[in-house]
This record gives sequence, structure tokens and C-alpha cells, in this order.
Amino acid sequence: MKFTVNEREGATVIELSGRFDNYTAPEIRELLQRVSVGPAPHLVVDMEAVSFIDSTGLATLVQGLKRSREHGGDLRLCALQAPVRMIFELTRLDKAFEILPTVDDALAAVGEGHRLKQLDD
Amino acid sequence: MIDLLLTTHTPLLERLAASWLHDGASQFSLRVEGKVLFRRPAQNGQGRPELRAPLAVDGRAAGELLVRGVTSPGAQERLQADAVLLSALTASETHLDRMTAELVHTRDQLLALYEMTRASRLKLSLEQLLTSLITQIHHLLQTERAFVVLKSPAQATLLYQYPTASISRDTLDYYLQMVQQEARPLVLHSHHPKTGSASWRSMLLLPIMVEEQVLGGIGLIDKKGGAFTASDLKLGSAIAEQTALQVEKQLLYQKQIAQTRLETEMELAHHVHARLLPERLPEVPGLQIAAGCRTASQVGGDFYDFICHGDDLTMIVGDISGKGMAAAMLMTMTRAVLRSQQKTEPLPTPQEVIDRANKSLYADFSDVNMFATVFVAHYSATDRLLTYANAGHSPVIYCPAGGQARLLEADGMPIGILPHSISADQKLTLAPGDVLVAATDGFSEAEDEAQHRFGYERFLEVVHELAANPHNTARSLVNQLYALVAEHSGRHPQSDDQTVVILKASEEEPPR
Repeated sequence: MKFTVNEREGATVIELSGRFDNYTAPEIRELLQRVSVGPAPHLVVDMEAVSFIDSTGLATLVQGLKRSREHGGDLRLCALQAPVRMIFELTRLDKAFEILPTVDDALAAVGEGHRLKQLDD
Repeated sequence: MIDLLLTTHTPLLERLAASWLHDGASQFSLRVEGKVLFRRPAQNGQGRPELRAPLAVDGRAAGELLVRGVTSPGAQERLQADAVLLSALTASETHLDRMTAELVHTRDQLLALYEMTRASRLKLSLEQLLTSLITQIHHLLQTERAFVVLKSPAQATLLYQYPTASISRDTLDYYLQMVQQEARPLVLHSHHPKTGSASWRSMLLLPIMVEEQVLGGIGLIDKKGGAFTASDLKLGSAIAEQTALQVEKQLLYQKQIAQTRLETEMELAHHVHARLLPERLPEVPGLQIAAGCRTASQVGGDFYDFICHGDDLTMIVGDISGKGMAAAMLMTMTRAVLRSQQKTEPLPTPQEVIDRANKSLYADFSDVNMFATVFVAHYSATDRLLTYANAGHSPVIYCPAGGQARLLEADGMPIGILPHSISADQKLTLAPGDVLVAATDGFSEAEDEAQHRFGYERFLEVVHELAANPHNTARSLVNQLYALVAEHSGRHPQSDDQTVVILKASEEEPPR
């Protein structure tokens, strides 16, 4: 599975491309482990070019979500293709993740999160 | 050098001496560096020799011939001629000697090479292979030092130096890179601009090539007594080739072992999985029950289960994320936990079952980063009431008799995602002819060779069509579903387990 990693506006944007399944998931799992170390890793996974996801792919994203939250950050998904979106809805994992239409929306949400945190502090 | 003549050609010297004595000489002798090596007659006589002729081999003074007692004209010429002949003979003998020594050395090398190939039939590990190689090649080519570096894909770099680790790791990496770039034998000299400062005179670098890739290199440093010759290069290359063959064999062998291990694991996972599926289908008045589980080559985490409580039935269909042994193992845990919930009094509702199972399993599932989708349904035969809860599982389809098939969507997340599950109990009355299909996504995700999925929409359509035919029993529905999906997939191999449980409410009167 192809991927690119970029730092943008205080978040790490990961673009994935291809099939997210049993064979390609281990590589992504490692990647997410690397980028979800503290402090406060804010991850945005751009799923625009992901054509297929199976349970292993879902489990990998869930792991990334849990880890980033453990380190005081978060993981958001954006630009899900229709069949992929459907999988999330059928498993109700659309309730576990914050899913946004575009990368910019996701980055805005990251920014909003920062601001809210500052208000709390 | 001249002393060679004494070992091999004494009869010749005797004849020469005899002919001089016959012609009137009183003594014939051969002297090298002042020492008399040959004299006829043997005892030393009186008087100094009048005739002398120097011997020279390869342009260097090697001794002299001396004759006493002959002074006739032409005698000096004659002695000179004898000396020239003897010198030439000595030169030939010397060269012959040298050639013989070389031949013996070459034969030794061939024998050593033969030994190497013979040893290759033994099952040596890569490490043993390389350590044996380094000592042999160092000995064969008579060098001060030697090293071998191997960078095989699935392993860490292997590195051996002989006799001591005298070169730094970084420097060795540098030489490996050089030989990888050039992909041919190289001879480096200490004054070579690319090598910079070095503590050696000359180095022979040989690539180890496996399947047209340079996987490593052999380095030979400072040949004893000279420079690396063309024949060293030839021998070295032959050895490097042999080594490459051995390395290739080893790597293939390792790949084979990994493959066999994987196959054994798959067989075991299948075995575990098969053992845990219900042996018999329960009999419930007013209900036809059928089930199937077609595993893929790499077993997944699908399962189904039935627990009877009198005339009532609990049915569970589940799918653990992932594939292989890990999924099979978690499946056994999940099944056990769900089963044990059924043993408590009073019987928990499906939502309670899922909630309690999640509490038990959450920690373990989180640790291994997996989750399980589960559909739990409880059927009460007296009132034909189906109570169910769905934790992220699909496809589950309900088709009322004569009506439209619809997906029973999950309202809660799969087990293992959150510490607290949030599904809710839903209720449905199964009138005669109603069909419930609880399948796993191996059906909807089944792909054909063009990677087209069967899909949820089509699955829904197919269930609707099949259920609409009142003659289809639960069993024939199961069979036809498998047939249709198999038809769709064609020759494309099944990638995920396909599990299905079908309930069809029959006309039979339920018990009062």
C-alpha cells in the first residue's frame, strides 16, 4: 500500500492509497505506531485513495486511534470513498471515529481541538 | 642453483670430468662461491688449475669450472663451451623446478576447491558456511587478512573477518557498497584515490551474486609475497561463485521452512475452527434452522453457535477481525465467553450478553488490537418472538413472508472497541414464512477475478428472491446462497470465511 506523510498545521497528515487489507495493514500499523508518539500526536488519515478496507484495516485504524489518544492526541479520518464509508457505518465504527469530508475540514477540527484545550488550560 | 646439477646430473659431470682426464688433465673441478662441489680425482692434487671458465645463470655468476694439467690451445675454448652448456642446463632445471612447484600449488588449490564443493553438500547454516569460507579462501590465496560480508534480505548483515576483526564496520560497509556498484571483481591499491588512507597494500574484492543481485562480498587483503595475479582473480571468482550457490541454496531452504511452518499453522487453525462449530443443529418447534461455514485457505475468525434452553434458542453469529491463527484463537475465547453468559440465571437478554462479553474481552482484544462483530438473537418458541442485539455485525437480513428483505443494522460497536458497549435489544415476531439470514461479510465481500465485490445490495436482492420462493427450506436457502456466491467468484480464490445461519419460521404450530 502506498502512503505519504506530511506535517501540516500542527498535524500529521497520512495519505493512504490502495487496498487496506490483511496484507497491507501491517505496514500501516507500524507507520501509525511511529507517528503516534507524544506529545499530543494529531493524526489525520486521508482515505480518498483507499478503495477497499477489511476488518484488519479497521482494526489497524482503531489501534491508531487508541494509541494517539493515549498520548494525548487524536486520529481523524477524511474523504472516505462510498464503499469504505459503508463498512464503517455497518460496523458502527463511524461512531468511534471523527470522519470528515476533506483534509482541510480535518485540519480545522484539529485546530479547533487545540483552541478548546487552551481554553481549558 | 648449480648444486641442482649435483642432485640430478651427477653422471653428466662424471662424463665431462672423465673426458678431460682422458685428454690429459690431472684435475677437473666445479667450484661455487669458493667451495669445491665436485672434483675428479676426488683428492686434491698439487698445483693451481690453469684453465677457468665462469658459470652464469639468468645473468648472475653461479660458480666456475677449473681444469689443471692441460694447456693446449683450444682447451680454454673447450672449457668455456662446457661452462655455457652447464649454465644453460642449470637454468632449465631451475625453471622446471619452479614450474613444478607452481603446478603442485595449483593442484593443492584445486583439491581445496574440491573440498569446498564437497563440504557444500553438508547442511551448513549461513553462518557456518561463511566462517568456513573465510578460513579456506584466506589459506588458499595466501593472504594476510580476509573478510566476508553478506546482506541477505530477510536477515541482519552477516560479517566475518579472519584472523582478527581488524577493519571497522563502516569501512566494510563502504567496500560492500563499492562491490555492489561495480558487480565485478576489483583489485584496490592503498594509493587508490577512492580508498583514502588505508592500512593495507592491496585488496581483492569479489562480489557474491545471487539471482543477479550482489548480496555480499569477499575481501582478501595483502597477498603474502606479492601482488594479486590474474590466476588469483580466477580462483577467487570461482570460490565466490561457489559461495553464491551455497548462499542461494540456504536462502531457498529457509524460505521453504517458513512456508511449511505457515502451512502447518493454517492446518492447525482450520482444525481448531472446525472442532468448535456445533456438531448438530438444534430442533426448535415452528422453526427451520440451517447453517454453514465455508472457510478460506487462511482461516478467519468466523463462528456460529446455538444454545438451547428448553424450546427456546439462542443463536450467535460472529466474526473476529483478521485472519489465521490469531483470529482462530480469539474466536475460541469469544465463543467461550458468550456461551458462559447463557448459563447464568436469569437468562440475560442479547444486549446484556454482548455488554458482559465486552467487559470480559475488552482488555484482551485491546492488547492484541483486534475486535469482534457479533449478532446475538434469542428466539422464544411459544410467542415466536425474536429478541436480538447487533454489535457491528453485517449482513443480517430479515425477509418477512411476501415482504421486502431488509438489513437489520447494527446499533452498537463491535466487541473490543470501547470499554462499554452500547447496543440495544430489538424485537421481531417471526410469522410463518419469515426468513432471517445472519451471515458474515465473506459473502458480501466475495470478489471475482476483476475484483468486483458481490456487495450488500446484491446480497439483499438475492436473499429477497430466494426467500420469496415459499418452497425453499432453510437448508436449500443456505445451499443456494453458497452456489450463487461461488458462481460470482468464479476462479478467484475465496479470501475470507463465509458463514451463514438461516432461520425460517414454519407453519407448524408453536407449543402452548
